[in-house]
Formats: sequence, C-alpha cells, structure tokens
Amino acid sequence: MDWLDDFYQLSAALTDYKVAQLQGTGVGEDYLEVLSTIIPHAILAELFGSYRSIVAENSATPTEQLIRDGILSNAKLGPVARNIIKMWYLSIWYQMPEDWRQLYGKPNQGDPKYQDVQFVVSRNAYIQGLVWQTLGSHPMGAKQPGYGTWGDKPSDRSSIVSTTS
Amino acid sequence: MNTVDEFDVVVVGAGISGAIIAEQLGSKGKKVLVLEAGSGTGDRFWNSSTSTGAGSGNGKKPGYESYMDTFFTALAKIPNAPYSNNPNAPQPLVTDLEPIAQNQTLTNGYFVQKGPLPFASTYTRAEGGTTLHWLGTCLRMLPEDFKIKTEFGRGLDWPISYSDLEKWYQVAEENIGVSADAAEQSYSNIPNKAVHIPYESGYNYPMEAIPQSYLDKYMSSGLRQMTVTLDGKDYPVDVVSTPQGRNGMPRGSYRPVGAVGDSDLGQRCAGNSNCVPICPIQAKYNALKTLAQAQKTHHVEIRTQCVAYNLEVDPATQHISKVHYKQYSDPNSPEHVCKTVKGKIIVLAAHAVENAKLMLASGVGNSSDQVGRNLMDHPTMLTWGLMPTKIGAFRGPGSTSGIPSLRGGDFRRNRAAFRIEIGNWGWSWPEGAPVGTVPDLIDQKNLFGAQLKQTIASVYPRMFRFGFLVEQLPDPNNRVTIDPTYRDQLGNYRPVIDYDVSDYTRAGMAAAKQVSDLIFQRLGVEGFTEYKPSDPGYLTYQGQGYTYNGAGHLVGTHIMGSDSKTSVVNRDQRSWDHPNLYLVGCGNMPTIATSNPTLTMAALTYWAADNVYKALADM
Amino acid sequence: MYINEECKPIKVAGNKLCPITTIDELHHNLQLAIELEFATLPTYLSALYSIKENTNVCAYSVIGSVVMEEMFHLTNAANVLIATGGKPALNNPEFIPSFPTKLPDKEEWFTVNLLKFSPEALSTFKYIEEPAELAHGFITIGEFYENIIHGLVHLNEQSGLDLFPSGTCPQIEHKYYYGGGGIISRVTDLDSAIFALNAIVVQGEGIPTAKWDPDKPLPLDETTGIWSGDDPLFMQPRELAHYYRFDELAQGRRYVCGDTHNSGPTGPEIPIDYSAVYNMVPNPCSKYYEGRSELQTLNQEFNLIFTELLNQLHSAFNGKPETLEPAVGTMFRLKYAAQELMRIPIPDSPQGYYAGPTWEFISESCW
Repeated sequence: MDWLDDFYQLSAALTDYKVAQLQGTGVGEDYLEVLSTIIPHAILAELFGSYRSIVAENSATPTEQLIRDGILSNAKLGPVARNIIKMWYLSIWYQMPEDWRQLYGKPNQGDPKYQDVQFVVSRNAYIQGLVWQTLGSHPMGAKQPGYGTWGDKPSDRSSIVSTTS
Repeated sequence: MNTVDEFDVVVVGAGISGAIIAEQLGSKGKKVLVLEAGSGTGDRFWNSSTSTGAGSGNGKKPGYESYMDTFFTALAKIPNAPYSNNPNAPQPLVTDLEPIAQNQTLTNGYFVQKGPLPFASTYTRAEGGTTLHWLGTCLRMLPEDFKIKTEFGRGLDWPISYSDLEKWYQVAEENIGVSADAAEQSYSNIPNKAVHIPYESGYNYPMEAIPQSYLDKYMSSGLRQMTVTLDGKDYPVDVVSTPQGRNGMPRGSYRPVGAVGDSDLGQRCAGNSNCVPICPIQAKYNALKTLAQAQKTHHVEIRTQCVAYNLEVDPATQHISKVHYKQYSDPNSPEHVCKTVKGKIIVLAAHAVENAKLMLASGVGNSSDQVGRNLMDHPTMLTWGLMPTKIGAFRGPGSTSGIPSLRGGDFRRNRAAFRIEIGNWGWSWPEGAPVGTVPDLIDQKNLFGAQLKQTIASVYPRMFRFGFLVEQLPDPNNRVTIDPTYRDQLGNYRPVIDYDVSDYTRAGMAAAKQVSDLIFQRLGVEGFTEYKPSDPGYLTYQGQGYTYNGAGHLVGTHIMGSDSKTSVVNRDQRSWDHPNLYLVGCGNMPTIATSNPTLTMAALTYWAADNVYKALADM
Repeated sequence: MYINEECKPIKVAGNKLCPITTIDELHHNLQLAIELEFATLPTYLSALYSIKENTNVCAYSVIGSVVMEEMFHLTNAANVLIATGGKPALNNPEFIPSFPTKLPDKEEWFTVNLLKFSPEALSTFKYIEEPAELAHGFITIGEFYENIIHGLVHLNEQSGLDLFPSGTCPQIEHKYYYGGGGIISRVTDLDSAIFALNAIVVQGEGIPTAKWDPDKPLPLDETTGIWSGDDPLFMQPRELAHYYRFDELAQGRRYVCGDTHNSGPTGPEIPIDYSAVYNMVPNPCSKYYEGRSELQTLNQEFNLIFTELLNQLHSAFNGKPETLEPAVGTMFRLKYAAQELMRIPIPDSPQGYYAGPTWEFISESCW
C-alpha cells in the first residue's frame, strides 16, 4: 500500500499547488498517515482510484468538473476529499461529518494518537499550512518575514511556480 | 519550627510590576523575594534537550520554546493559548465567555460572573505575567486624563498630574524599550489641542519608530484632512504611528535587549505577526527580561508555584507581619505545603483582580470599602470590512498605528472618548480568519482547486478591522468580591465579578460606530460588521445593538486618591491602612482613559519602587 | 581560512603577501576580503538549512551565530573600503564561487563542498576556520588582514594622499545590524579602520601569535559549559573561535574551562542527531533538475532571491545603507526557499537525495 504518489497527485488537483510545492512543505507524509489512520483503506483506495481514472479519461469535460462529478459530489468520497483540502490549507484534521461517520466510519486503523476528532496535525504542519502563502503572508508566529516588511506593498507576485507551466 | 525567611521586600507576583520593583530594589542592594503563583521557564529560552547529567533530574525542563509548542498545536489560538491552564493558579479565558441570562451566574471559567454583562478581559498567571501576551502598545495618557472630574464632571481626578508622572514615563520607556518618535507622539500636529501631550524638550525614545504597515499608510493618505463633527464641533481624524514596546532600530548608544536565555534572538522585530498570544523571539518586551535583570543583581529570589493566600497583620502596628503562601510542585495536583515569609515591606503586584482578591481574603487595606471596586476595562468594539484593494492583511505587529485624535475633547462631558486601533491582522479577531473561516469556503461555498486558491488570494489580503477602545468610568458597582462557595483546587478564592457598561460608555460606542461608518464610506470599505445578540458582549444603546470585547486592560480595584475614605492607596501607592504595604499595578489607576494602561502602570511602578526604597531607608 | 593566488587573484610572493603600496591595491585587497567573508556563507547556510525543524537546536544556533559573525566581518571590511573611497562590488557572477570550490590545504588541495549538516560538513567548516597557528607555511586570513593594516599605515603616512576622504558613500551604521556578531563602528581615520579590521581577526580566526601552545587552556571563564543541568549555557555568548565552536559540534561535546586544543572538549554532551537532517544532494547543481520543471522553477526562484539579495547588499554598500532593511527580508525569503527545495526528493535518485539550492547569481539578461 504505497499511496504517497496518489496522495500528492490528488492533493495537487484539490489545492491547485504543484506536487513539488506540496512536497516542499515536508509534511505530506504526515497528512497521509493521519488520513490512512482514520479513513478506512477501502475508501481511500476508491478515492485514489477515482482520481486515477479521471486523469486517464481523455474527456472533453474539464478535469475540475470531473472531480466535482466523481469525487466531491460523492457522499462517500466528497467529505474525505474536503478534509484533505482542509489539512493542506489549515493543518487541521476536522472530525468527519456525523452522517458519514454513521455510514462509513471505522475504528482507528493505526497510531492511536490520531483519532477522528478535531486536532492540529503537528507543530510543523501548522507552519506549513498553505493558507498563509495563499493569502500573501506567512504563518502567524513562524517564517518571520523580517523587520519592516509589513510596510511593503502587498505583492501580486505569488510563487512563480504557480504562474508558469 | 522552621525559622521564617525574612526579606527587605516581599513582592507578590512576577509580572511586569513585580519585576520592576524587584529589579529596582535588587539593584540597590535590597534583599527581595518574589512569589509567583504560576509556573516559570527558569531563564531558559530553549527546552532543556537532554535529561542526562548531574542535577538535571529525569524530566526535561521547559523553556520559553515550550510555549511555542503549545501555541502551534492549540486549536483555539486565544491570548492564553500558549500558557497552559494551571488548576493551582487558574486564569480566565476568552472562551469561557457567554451571554449571562438575567439573574444567572456564569461559573464555567475561573471567573464567577454575576453580570449583568460579562467582564471580557483575561490575564496570564505565569512568570512574566500578561506581558507574555500583551500587544506592546506604549501610549502615554493625556494631561486632561488625570483630571476628568474637574474638567468634565465625570469619573475621578488622580492625586497626581501628567507633569508629576512625566519623568517616570521616560524611565519606563527606556527600560521597556519603546520604539517611537517623541515629536510625533506629542500629537502637536493634530488640530485638537485636547490631545496634545507635552514631552520634555530634547527627549526622544530609545528606538526609532516601528515602520507603519502598508495598511496604515494607505489609510493615512485616504483619511488626509478628514474631520468628523461630534456634539456640534469638528474633530480631525488623523492616523499616527503607535509607540510600541518592541525592538526596532536603536537611537544612539541604546542597545536593544534580546530574548532571555538566547540574547541573539529578538534584538529586532522580525514581523512574526504574533505579538498576541506570543512573540516567538521576544523582540516584544516581556517581564521575563526585567526579571532576568533583577536576578543578575544577586539580591532577588524568585519562587514560582507559590500562591500567596493570606496577609497577616500585626494588630499593634498595623504592619503586614507575614505573607502566607501555598507552594505546590505539580500544577495538576492540589498537593501543597503552606509556608510563611516576612518582609519589612510587602508589595502586592499580583494584578488588579488578584491583588483585590488577596486583600479581601486577608481582610486588609479595606477601611475605605473600595478594594475590588471600580473595575474597568476598555470595552473594545470592532468594525470590519474589505478594502477596495489589497492592503496586505495578516502582516506585521498586531497594530502599528491608530487614530488618537478623538482621545480627548469637550465631548467627554457627555460620552466616553475612544482611541481607534488599526488592526494589521485582517479579520483574525472578529472572525477567527483564516483558520476559522476557510472551512466555510470548502464545506459551504463548495470551492476547491484554483477557485479556492484565487478566492483566498484575492479576498483575504483586503481584510481589515478597526478596534475602538472606549473609555469606561470608575463605578463602585463594577467590582471583584470573594465568596466561600467558589474556590479553586488549592482552596483559594475565585474572583466573583459584578460588571456592567454604563450609558456614558455605550454612547461612546455609538459615536465610535458613526465615525467608523463615515471612514468606511470615505475609503469605500465593504462593511461586514455584525453585532449579534448571541455575542457575550452584546448590548444596546438607543435601540441599536453593539458588541464589546475585552481589551485585557484590567484597571481599578485598589485606586489611588487623596482621601483615605474614598481610595485604597495614597499618591505614594502605599495602603492608607498599613504603613508597610504597597500596591502596584493597574489596580492603582483611578481612571482608564483611552491609552493601553501598561506604560502608565510601569511609570507608576518605577515611582513606587523609589518610594519603597526611601521608606526602607527611614525604617 | 586560506587564500591563494590560484583561487583568488591576490598578489603572493612565495608564501608571503606583497606589501600594499597603492590605494588601488588597498581597495583590491578589501574587495577580496568581502568576497572571502561572503564565500563561506553558501557552505554554512546549506548545512544550516538542511537541519529539520526544531531539531539539533544547539548546532543550529552555533552555525547561525557564525554566519552572523561572517556578515559582521563583511560589513566591517566594506566600511573600511567605503571610508577609503572605494566601492564594494557584490552584484556580479564572479562575486561568488561555484561549488565545489577549492581552497588550498597544507599539502594538497582541499575542496569546499555544499553539504547537508553532517560530520563531513563539520570537517569542512573546521578546515575553513582552522586557526593560523595550525596553518604552517600558509597565508591565513589573520595575516591577510594584517597585511591590509600595514598597507593602511603605509598609505596614511604618505603625504599628498587623503586616505580617508570626505564625501564618501555612507557607511553601514550599527543600527542596521543586529542579532549578535558585534558592534559596527564608524570608520573615519586610521585608528578606527584598524579597530574595525582587528575586530574581524580577533573574533573569527584568532590573532596569530608566535607563542601558541596547544596545551594552553582556551580562554573560557569558569562557568562556561559547566554542566548545570540546564541548556541555557549552550547559548551563552563565548569568545571561542569558530574553529573550536565547530569542533564542539563535530565531537559532540562542550569545551569547558581548562580544556586545551590538545585535550579537546571534555564538557557535557551536545545532543546531535544527524538523522534529523534533509538528505540534500552534495553540491546541488542545475543539471540534477534537468527534465524536472518544478524543481528547476523552484531553484530558479531561489537564485532570483539570492540575486536580489546581492543587489540589495551592493546597493547598501554603495550609497543606500537603508537598503539593508529590505535585505533582511530577502535573507529570510532565501532561507524559506532553500528549505522548501531541501524537503523535495529528487525523483529516481538512487541515493535517495533531496534537492538543494545552487547559489547562482543571475545576470539581468537571464531574467
């Protein structure tokens, strides 16, 4: 069961960040561990499989719509995908919705430190939350930008990685 | 029986005022003991990373960095988030707050709140005190703030004037390490004489002004020449940078003080945008720095996890003869031993609420019946919206400028004055953005991928908020009391609080909202302000709803005055009732006016230290 | 640090430095000093930034403090150059070496590599900072600065030459510099120029002395490094030369009062975890990223920030000292960009290497 590549590919599509940028946070493997501890593996296999077939499908429909069709609007997979987005952006695992837990939830499948309750994944994960760079700043309390930088005109230049290729 | 330790001075509380007393007297050779109810980090910045070796014991010892660990992994990043709750020295939390139903008592936090409105401010019970999470704003009070009874027929006059305190302001600014420009802070360019503050000619702050945020500059140019009409009179709306207790570029030979335990860190603010709840590098002043200086005198001993609970009075002399305290080794266990110390002089520096509680519990110093009364805060009303363009929210110190031009004027006869704070952190205070708001974009607005990214990138940098710090007058019915029903796990009293916001202050909030509306109109801000009856601080005035928040500015409770019948301490900050008991801290302030109180309190405390030193010489 | 004709264009006759006799030679030597101080930074910073977050706190702090001191040295050398009417030049591709680069060893060439934090990296660091006393027969940085001081004295005595002219570019004032390292003082005359250069030598590589004794205790006061059960001592400012500070990390022990060069450090253990380090490829080079457009782009982004930093420093030393303020922000961006690269595995690397920045100045024509 090596889902890391699948996880990065799907995460890149869900967040609009490049795989290298997600790897560059250094916490992707932690997120996958949280995910595979809390979410039943059959559901994860289905989720990654769905994304692989979306990519493979040579459809005229835009990929974004295919993701909405096949994943986000799927009662089983949608909440999982949304939790993946929230983990990347906010570094927090949110408890799965009540109705989802009734239907699909399973007891913890790995490290008991990860339970399906709301928690900050780790200190490093907080610092690597994507929301901060997306909003043009830095995580509050970390990645200090330096004296006086708050007086600069906010930059429209987001990472050149996201504007090229 | 053990002999009782005896000191020249016993200080209760290791926050900023206790640290100042200890450092000032220790440096003059006086033997000082500081009792701190909460835990400490023992001058360590980094956590002790190894547990081998002689004398280290088994446990790793936490440093300041342990507060960062706690902060990063806390879900609710509230002001006390880094400083774990300690059941032996409990502290109030903003998450304790709820609206108080009529005739109900709110008991779910440390405070026992009897209402009718909840008291919304909190403080920190740990070595270093609330300066661990203060913003660092170091405003002086206006000259007229010291005599509002005389000038406006409101509140109380102080027994001292601005000019009495001026030299102590300078001492406090030097020692805290304030960055600002004196010419600007005199407000002499503001066309409202009521707010002008005289500075001694030639004086300047130890460090250059902290750079203004892009938002400050944007607003400053947008509001140029703006005036508002209040009570038929025009007042200017001027943006001025705020003096801050954080390290900037030094003037002359001044050398900024870095972090305790790693002095290379924190020599200059690096823009961590996290002053509240914790500056990761201690570029912002905190009392740990003054405590470290106090200990360097070798005359000061700090005992943490020691909760003072009773002051014993010698009936013959009315001196405080002994201080009784409970010492515990594990914050989570109520196990403790009771100990006693003696001091020639006792200084209570435990914070406005805790000072009052300790005096009430001991039955001391209260011949005036004013102990615990006149509790004040700056009820802080927020307004928020989206700027028409990106102003770079979520960057820099929490606030680098404000609008001080409405801090004083004749309108104070009719309604409260206020200072406007310009917030640099978007909607983090009013809405918990971004962590509290982004899930909604994903779960309810159904955004993902590029749409989600672009929404955050285009909207969040435009987020903006004002904070209106509205003056609250001394009211004897706003008070801290004790009740044997309510105790903490060590058996010490929990503060019982009666609190309300008067029409005078509500009228100030209404005027503030009007000013905000005009500014929003002028700048083209898309307003998102919403005051909900479910807000703990929701109130109404003339049919309109407003919400206040706590500013963390707890003032009053043992006010100074010139009459022993109506005040708790005299102008020397000594108890009217006990010749060797001094009280320090914001509790001494008879009024709160419109400035964040720490600088004024620090100035008063340097003065008090001088008084204590002289009193020791006379003993 | 060693310098040699073949690695830097410095006039050397045998093992002796040529005396400085003209103002141009003085400026040339001071420019060289700036280049030498700067040249160590990619090496140190590569190791520093490869340390995983919140690990190896002591090593991180030691390397970081040495970096701050190198910046202090660079600034002092630049101030002397400015004060004597020269113009520091930092914004060109020749200003930085391309790695691996070679600095001469006692008997053979020694290669300075960009390495992750590792015993090998620490060996390089020790080599770079090796005290004059150990460098028999080679020119040390101490001797190099001594030669500059002799040149200053010589030129100052020449009539008709205004060695410290008025109207030079503003120097870097102390208020711009913080975070440890030293106090920057203004250079206005011979004494203040010598003071600034001596500050470099004393702090970094030690003063060369004929009476050096490897069994003489190092200048540590009684409490330094003595085990007290607490770590704050690890952060105490100490007057210990860079070489010994790196040696402490290499040996995983603290020097304490009474320790000598020959005894090595005998104090408490320094916790070091070489596994808590990103496995950065040695001497990252753009060819590793060929065909990996995301890595290429991130590395390009790093090099653009690095270039911006050099441009800002150049500007700060050439009339606009206030540019140092935004340069601090650029340094932080450089760090985060380096760390981002170091967390990304190079695809299909047999050794399991991770990426790393290549530290290249990008000329404007390539933007």
